[in-house]
Amino acid sequence: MSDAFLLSTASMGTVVTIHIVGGAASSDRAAHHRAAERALGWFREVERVCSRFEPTSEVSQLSSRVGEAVPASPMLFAATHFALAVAEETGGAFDPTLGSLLEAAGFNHEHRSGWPVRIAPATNGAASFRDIELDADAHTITLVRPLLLDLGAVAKGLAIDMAAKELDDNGYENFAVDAGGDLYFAGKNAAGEPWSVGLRHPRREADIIEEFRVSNSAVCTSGDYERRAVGGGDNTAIEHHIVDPRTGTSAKRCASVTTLAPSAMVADALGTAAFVLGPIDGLALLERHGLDAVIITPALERTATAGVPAAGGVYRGESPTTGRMSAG
Amino acid sequence: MTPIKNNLVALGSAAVVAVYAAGYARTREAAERFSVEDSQRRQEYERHAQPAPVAPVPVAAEPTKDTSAHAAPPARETVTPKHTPAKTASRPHDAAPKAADTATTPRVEVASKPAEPTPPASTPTPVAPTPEMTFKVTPPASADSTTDADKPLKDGIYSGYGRSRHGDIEATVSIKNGKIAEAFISQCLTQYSCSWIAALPPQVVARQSAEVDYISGATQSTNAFYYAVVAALKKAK
Repeated sequence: MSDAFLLSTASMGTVVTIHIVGGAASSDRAAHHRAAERALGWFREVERVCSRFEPTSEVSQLSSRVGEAVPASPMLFAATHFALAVAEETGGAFDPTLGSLLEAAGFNHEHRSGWPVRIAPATNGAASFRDIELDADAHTITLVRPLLLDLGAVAKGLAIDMAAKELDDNGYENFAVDAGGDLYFAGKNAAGEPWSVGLRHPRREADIIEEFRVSNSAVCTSGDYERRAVGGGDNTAIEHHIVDPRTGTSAKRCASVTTLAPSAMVADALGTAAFVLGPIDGLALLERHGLDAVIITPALERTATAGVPAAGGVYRGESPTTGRMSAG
Repeated sequence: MTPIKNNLVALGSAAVVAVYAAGYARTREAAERFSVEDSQRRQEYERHAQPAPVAPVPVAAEPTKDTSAHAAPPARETVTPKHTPAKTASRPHDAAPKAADTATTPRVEVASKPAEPTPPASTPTPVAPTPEMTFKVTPPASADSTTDADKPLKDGIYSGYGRSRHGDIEATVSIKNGKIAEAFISQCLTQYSCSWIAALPPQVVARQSAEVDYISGATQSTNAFYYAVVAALKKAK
């Protein structure tokens, strides 16, 4: 790490860092700075559109209009479309309409003030992803019944992907995007090696449970230790933020799922779904989509796909996410 | 199983391209607003010394890239030749360490905003969490060795706030002999108990010198605390 340019900001309730390798020369630094600003700008933009914690966000506005075909921005439409596709594919183990459930559990505090916010009419809690209709031609979204759309499992990954694409588009080949431990790595680190990434031990905060090297891939971890709800909200069945939409309670079969994918959005959403499905079905889901993952159970048993490298090994994405049009 | 293989991966990739193409111009505006309005929350974050404070880069004055290139149909993305700067930036510098690079201490510095040459008189009261996130980090006393000879932290006790969507955390650091002797959670304003992150204080700043480049699975509150430490350290400058 001898030669690096880093720019950080607070966004989406976490610290986002853009890390560009190289940059000792001041001429490079100015260019890096502009590119990193642009990349961080995507986080602001995604938050502005997709955050259910911002009452003025597009998704919050959408949640207040029921039974009406609401024109959506390309970003909101694409994020919702993707979220619904994952919901469909997983039979509802992933469901972006969890908003009301999460709100009942106390995940409803504006992250700066800590004050409770209500951004939608009361819902009956029975809504599912099937209550959202998309019109691909008109680019509209219709909420068939009152619900809170929560794109949290999609939005941060999308922002990472957009930031990575921005950097890729500006000609950068060696960089990292870190959004609170959801990561995208391009090329190599400043030592000229693939990026080393540690997976957090799900039970021991300061420890790394596994480590390998990654190039041209997103690495996203869903853990039950995140946002553990200690005494917040009414619903005691929800102890952490990954809820099984089919039962309305916290998913318990995994302690952490780390997913490697060409896209952070894909890694985050499918990793979240795999967390809910549990080690066996979850891993099957990820394998079916050609992704690699490490799953740690609450008993600290480890399962992983064949593509995950041994300690110190290297995982190489097929090509930069961002330049890739289609895996098909 | 093969029929649907990569279906979602392909959909995700297509979404990224579509959003990027559609949102490029608007995002650039967002970046500019971000730069102007949120300068207090922004920080330039450098682990390594640089010859001089970076000249503030007004994003608005940036030479405009050809926007049409970004609005082009996705199909052209695959064949777009890379610009060269990253290549040139990625390697050669290792060979020619600058004088300033000899001060290898991890350091965080902030480029002050052009629009705000002087700190406004309306600095937030001590009670309100200050949004200023400009900061400078040196390794904790426990981490190895290198000293930040140029800009030692001033001895004393400093507090700062970090935020998460669950509320704020206030961290307090104690500086002795220009190094962080101690860090602890001084106020927990999150809606959840802070007890489960009690293990963090010794770890957070050490993360600056973690052997791995990054850790996947870092928590929200880890970051809130980290940020609080960073805000506190800024006051020690």
